[in-house]
Formats: sequence, structure tokens, C-alpha cells
Amino acid sequence: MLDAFVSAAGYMVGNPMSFLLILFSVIWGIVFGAVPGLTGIVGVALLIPFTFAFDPTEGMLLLGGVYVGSTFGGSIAAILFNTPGSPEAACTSLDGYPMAKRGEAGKALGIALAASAVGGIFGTLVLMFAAPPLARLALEFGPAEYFALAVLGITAIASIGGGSLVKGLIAGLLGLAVALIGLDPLTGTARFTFGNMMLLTGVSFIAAIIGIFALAEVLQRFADGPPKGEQMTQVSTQLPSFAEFMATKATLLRSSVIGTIIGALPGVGATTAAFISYSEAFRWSKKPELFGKGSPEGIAAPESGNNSAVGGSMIPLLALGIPGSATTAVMIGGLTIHGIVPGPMLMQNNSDLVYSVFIGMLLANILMLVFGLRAARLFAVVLRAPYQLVGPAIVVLCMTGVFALNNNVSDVAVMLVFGGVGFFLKSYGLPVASFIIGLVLGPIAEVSLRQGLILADHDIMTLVSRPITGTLLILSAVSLAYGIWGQIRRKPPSDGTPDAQPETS
Amino acid sequence: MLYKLSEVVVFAAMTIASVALWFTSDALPVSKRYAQVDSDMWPKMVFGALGICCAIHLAQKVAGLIAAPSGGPRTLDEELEAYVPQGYYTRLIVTGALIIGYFFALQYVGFLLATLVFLWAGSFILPYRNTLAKLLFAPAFTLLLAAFFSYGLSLSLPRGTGIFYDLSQALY
Repeated sequence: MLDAFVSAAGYMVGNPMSFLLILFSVIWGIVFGAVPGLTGIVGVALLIPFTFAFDPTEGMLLLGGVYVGSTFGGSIAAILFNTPGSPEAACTSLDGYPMAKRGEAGKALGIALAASAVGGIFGTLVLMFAAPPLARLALEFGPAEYFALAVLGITAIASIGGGSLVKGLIAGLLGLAVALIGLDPLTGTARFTFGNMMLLTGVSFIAAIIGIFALAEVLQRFADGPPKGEQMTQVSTQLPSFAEFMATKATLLRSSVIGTIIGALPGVGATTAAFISYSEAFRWSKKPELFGKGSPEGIAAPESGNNSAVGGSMIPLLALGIPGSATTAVMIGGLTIHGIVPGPMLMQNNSDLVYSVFIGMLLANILMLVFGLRAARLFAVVLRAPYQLVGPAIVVLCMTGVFALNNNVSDVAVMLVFGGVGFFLKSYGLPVASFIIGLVLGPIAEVSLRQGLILADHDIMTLVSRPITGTLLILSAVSLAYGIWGQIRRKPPSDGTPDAQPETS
Repeated sequence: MLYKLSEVVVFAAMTIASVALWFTSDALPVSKRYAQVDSDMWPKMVFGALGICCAIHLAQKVAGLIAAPSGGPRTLDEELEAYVPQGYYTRLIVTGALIIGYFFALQYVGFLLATLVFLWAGSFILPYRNTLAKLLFAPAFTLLLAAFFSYGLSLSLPRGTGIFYDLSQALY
């Protein structure tokens, strides 16, 4: 391994072009991540034809850099405009935007950036040193384990109610209900489509989150009338101080570990990693009452989680040839057009390439710190513009981005409907975070439960007694009990007092 | 009071809808192969739980309404809850209508014209003195975005129909 590492380092040092490519790809990725609807997948896909012009290593550095940059880029729009640039940044809106509205946009961006870099570097280091054993662990995950993992995330929906356990549950169950729309993944039966052909493929997640966050926010702010003294004044991005950074060290470490493991699981991805990291950060936080109101932990957790998932999702790609996420699935295309087949033999036959990618991703995370700061400052300039002009522009950007995603007007219609849903949730104090967690984890939970039951011959005990499943379910029960105990300890307001306070407004 | 009443109505409707959707799940086609894990298994669990939670919340709200003294002084929280800025619903309806109008205009008129008009109209919903900025921002942003998507990314934008389609074809 050391020989391969030294050889790859030698290649990188002797090839200045690779640095330029990483630099370009990180900036490209940040831009694609920051524009709602475009996402890193589009950024990677658009660059694949250009990799023909380079050797395979340079091509992979280019694609890896975009992946790293776009995962952070999504948080810029999420924090500044409550408009997640990419699905994995949806969770960052929940605390990033309230912090920005408090006049601490620069601080929120700085926390997101530092957490992204920490998560990204952690994920890459794990990828570098533990790819083969982690890939084997990922293969141990069957439907029962996926179900237990989804349960671990879903158990958080009750706790994120912002005071009302029932409202948290209602919002989460609404998310699970929306995720039911479309074809049943096992039997192919159309469910809750009410004869609408466009709903057969289910609800587009990107369109839904953009509607819930961005459109609902524009509606709310326009309805509220002229802004009164809640301008985002402090927009100069600043990295957190050492003391602030250390205050979130447990969250960063926990989320990075969660993100890397979830990223390594084929088909799960950074969005799930971000939400589970957020749920766990909320559950184990000493100040859970600050979540949804601009908690630094609420920004650090999803950002370190989703960025560490980037490294994690490269593990099954490079070690097994199985894409860990949608973006790595597109990256497989980039590898195969150069005649490289990812899989167990890749690390033996193309160790130079693999280790160059590792080093490149490490560099990309460091460069992201430098250029993320500048990019965020550039975007933050928009905040100086009056909302009377910015609000409609956000609507245009969202509609254009969602339309361009699949060249499909029905996605835009979905976004509009979910704009209404977001407004409804806010108006009645139903936590958006719980709704989104239900929407993300619902399909995973359903499919894996049913598949698991089939494999276990419909015996629930066989299903839950598998070692990893059992451990995860016990963890879920413990963390659920801890969350409920925390709520009791905080003495939530009795009914009749307004528990209808929007968490993201 | 009005907010609390609306909350009762909304959660009552959600309880009824959950029960109705539970029965819709029950009526889903049956597959012998997946007898014990059929299409209705998970939806029934979700809508069952949702119905129960909505009913509990509804009961809490109704109990709160009955117990609340009528005509007495309101707490600060209740005052905040009841506060609605002047013109709130008008602006909400106008903004919503404008966004829906823009959605349809995109399909029939195409990106350039629909966006231009939408941005102009949108900037007049809230008071803002700088008319020049309002007038200049719309065309500048529209052209910039069209250029970015069409030429920078080679991604298509809605072109409209009929004469608007021809116009869009000529422009981008």
C-alpha cells in the first residue's frame, strides 16, 4: 500500500495539470451544488465527455473534485436562501437559514465549510486505509440491516417536534405517506396515483425539497410583507474559532463516522447520511432545544455527514465496482469509457490510479476550504439585494433548475405542490425536518422490511435477531428512549400554548 | 381563536383522510406471491399510525378549546399566535397566483417572456422605491439565466408553443 501511495504522490507532484484539474473541478462542483436543481450528478455527467481529453487518472480527479465541491456547494444556497442547492443540503437549511436570519450568515457558512472539510477528509482517509474491510462490511448489509438503519433514522422524527411529540410524529408520518406514491417496488402495483400517469414514478425528491424549502419561504416572506430589520447583515464568511470548533467535535466525529458507513452502503447516499447524522446530533445534543433555530451542531452534523459519505460512497465503487450513490454510478461511466473496470482487481491492477484519486480527493477537500470561502462570499453578495427582487428570482431559479433536471414540466408542478405543503407545515407548526426524514427513509424502510420478511420466511424474530440488525435496533430503542426522556426533562409546553412555532421561519 | 378553530378543522380533515386512505390501501390489488408482505402492508401501517396521531392531536385541540376561557385576557403567546400582518392574505393570494400563472406561462409563452413579466410583476408585490432597479433587474437576470442554461450548460429551457416557440427557437 505504501509503495502505491508513494508512487501516486510522485505522479501528482510531477503532474501540475492534476492540481489545475482538481481546482477547476472543485469550483465547478461548488457552482453546480449551489444552483438549485442542478446537483453534483449533473455536474459530473456534463464533465464526462471532457475526460476523453485526459488520461484516466486525470479524468477521475476531475470527476472526484466535482463530487466533493458539489456536496458542499449545496449548503451555500441552503443557508443563504433556504433553498437547498442539492438534496444532501436539505438538512443544512433547517439550522443554517435560521442562523443566517439571525444575522450570522457568515458564521453559518463557515461552520458548514469547516464541517464539510472535516467530514470530507475523514471519509477520504477511511477510504484510503480501510476500503477493503469496509467494502466487505457493506456486503454484510442485507434487507434486514437496511431496515434497522432506516428505523434508526425514523425514530428521530418523534423527537424533532420542537416541543410537541405528536406533531413530530404527524409530520414524519406525512413524509412516509408521500413516499408511498408511485409503483410498489416489489409488486409493481400503482399506489395512490389516483390515475395520474406522472405519479407512477413517485414524487421527485429534488422537486419536493426545493418546493418545501424555497417556494414556501418566498410565499411566507412575501405574505409577511416588507422586511422589518431582519436583513442578513453579517455575510462575510468566517471559519469557526478553535473553541467553537471544539464545541462541535463530538458531533463532527459522530457524523463523519455515520456518513462514511452510510456512504459505503450501496444505494443509500449522502442525503440519508445527512439526515441520520442530523437526527443523531439532535438526540445526543446537550442543547436540543436550539435545533431548528440556528444551532451550530445542526449545521455541522449534516455537512460533515454528507461530505464523509462522499469518501464512503467511493469505497464500494473502487473496491467492489458497485456504486454507493447516484453520482458514483455516473462516475462508473467515466471509468469504463477509459477501459477501466472498477472492482476487486482495480486496487491491484491500477493502484496508481486508485491512490491518485485518494490523494486528489484529499486535496479537493483542502482546496474546498479556500475556494468555498470565496464562493460563499460571492453568493452572499446577493443578500445585499432587496428581497423584492431576490424573491421572484429565487422562484425563477428553482423552476428553471427543476425543469432542466429531467426536461419535465411535471417536476415543476410537483415543486409547486410541495411549496404549498411546506407552507402548510410551517403554518401549523409541523416540523419540516420530520417530514423530510420520513420522505427520505420511507422507501428504504418499506422495501427492506418486506424483502427482509420474505428472506426470513415472515418470521419477525429471525429478521431482528441478525447481529447488525439487532445492534442497530437496540441503538434505535436506546436513542428513542433517550430522546423521549430529554423531552420529558425539558418539560414541553402543555397543550393550549402555541406549539405551532415554525422551526424554520 | 380563529387559528385554533382552523387547526381543529385541518386535523379533523387529516384524520378523516388517513382513515379513507387506510381503506384505499386495503383495496389495493392482492398478489398471491407476496401474500404476507403485499402492497398494502406498509401503507396500512403508515395511515393507521397517522390517523391515530391526528385523532390524538385533534382531541387535544378540542379539549383545549373547550377548556379555554372565552372573552378573558389573552396571554402573550396567544397574542403572537393570533397576529396576522395587515394585507397578509392578499399578498399570499397574489404571490401564489403569480407563481401559478408563471408556471402556465412558461409552457405556453416560453422562458424569456414569461420570466421577464413574472420578475417585473413580482417586484411590485412588496413596496420598494428603486423603480429603475426593478425595471432593469428583470431583463438582466432573464438574459443571464437563459445564456447560462442554454449556452453555458446546453440544457433546454421551456420554449412555449406556436409563435412563442418560433420566437424562442430563434433566440436560444
